[in-house]
Amino acid sequence: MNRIVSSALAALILAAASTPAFADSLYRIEVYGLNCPYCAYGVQKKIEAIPGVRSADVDLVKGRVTVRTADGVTLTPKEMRRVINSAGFTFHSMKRLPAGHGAGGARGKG
Amino acid sequence: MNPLRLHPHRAAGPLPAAAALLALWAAPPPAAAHEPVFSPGPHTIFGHGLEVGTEFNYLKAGPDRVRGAALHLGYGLTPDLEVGAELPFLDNSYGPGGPNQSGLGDVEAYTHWRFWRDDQLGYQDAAGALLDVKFDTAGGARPPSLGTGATSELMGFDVSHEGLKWYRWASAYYEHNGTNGAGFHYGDKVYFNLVGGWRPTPPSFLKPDTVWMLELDSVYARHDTLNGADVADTGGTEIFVAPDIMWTLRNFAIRAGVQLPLYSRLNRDESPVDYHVRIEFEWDFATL
Repeated sequence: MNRIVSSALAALILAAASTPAFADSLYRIEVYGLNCPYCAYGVQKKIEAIPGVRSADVDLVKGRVTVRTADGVTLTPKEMRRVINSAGFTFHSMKRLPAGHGAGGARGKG
Repeated sequence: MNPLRLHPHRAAGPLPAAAALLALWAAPPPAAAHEPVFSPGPHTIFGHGLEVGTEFNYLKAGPDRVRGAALHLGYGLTPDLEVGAELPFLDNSYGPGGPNQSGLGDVEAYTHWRFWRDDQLGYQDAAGALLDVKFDTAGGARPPSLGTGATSELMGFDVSHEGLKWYRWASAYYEHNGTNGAGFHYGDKVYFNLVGGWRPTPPSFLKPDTVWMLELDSVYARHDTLNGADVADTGGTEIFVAPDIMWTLRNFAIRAGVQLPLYSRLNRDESPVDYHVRIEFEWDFATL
């Protein structure tokens, strides 16, 4: 009986630990004007200041920011346009990526 | 005679003697990090971003030299409007046996407005306007003073193309100097600057980034005046070339360069500036 309970608990803990990785949402935002890492620092900080955003990773060469949000947090084009503009760049478009897409993240790239 | 040495009429009273040199040292208004070293560009820090920097200068002209350090603070009121101030400390020396002076220089306050921006994939074109006011705060109770003894203003325009590989800047500025209490007026100046920049490797967000630049800086100075009359041995035209480097990592930047004389046509028989070295360290922070 104890073994069954222990196994069930272990399974629950494992499930709980792995759930957030799958529950996060990913957004791909196309940003115009990006050309240098120093200038793009503000973009990352502005986006990461949005409640529920876990990370924002910038790909300068592709002009793209990949944003990971917590489960249930939704980003809107209107909000992203405002945030990107406040960082000194121009919002072009965005889309929510399908679940499981880009699990490796874009951090550290371009 | 060297242009930086004391002129007799300036040595006679508590009049500034280092202004020619200071003008060269402080000509470019305080600049944001992603700009050339000796000339400004339209870049402004992001909205509610804080820019903290320090710079070091060494300028030599014949037997005279200036060493300077400055603290620089900038703040982005909006993504296209920056305000800031610069607090310089100077240590001037006018040849062997000549006077020395060190202390606080003229404090500057500036605003930079990027009034036009065209963002496209991989590049940003921009144009800006700048107003910089240099207040009469310099120390030096005895001559030579570390400042001009009067408030001066610098205003102008700059444009840039900033791409993933190539950069271009151009700027034109006018410096209007005030008349100090002794009736001395340092000649107004006009600056033109052209700069090209090259990034040898594509930028990567989390990795160090290097941009090489080459500046062509020119300054035309009108005659100084004393009680409204031209001072004969002042003013003229000088053109400099300056190889620079800009190195950044995340929100930290180092800019360094050396300005070398290329052409000199001064209204006097004086040796021009030999060289001017500048290195700057800067950090950007998000405040909101």
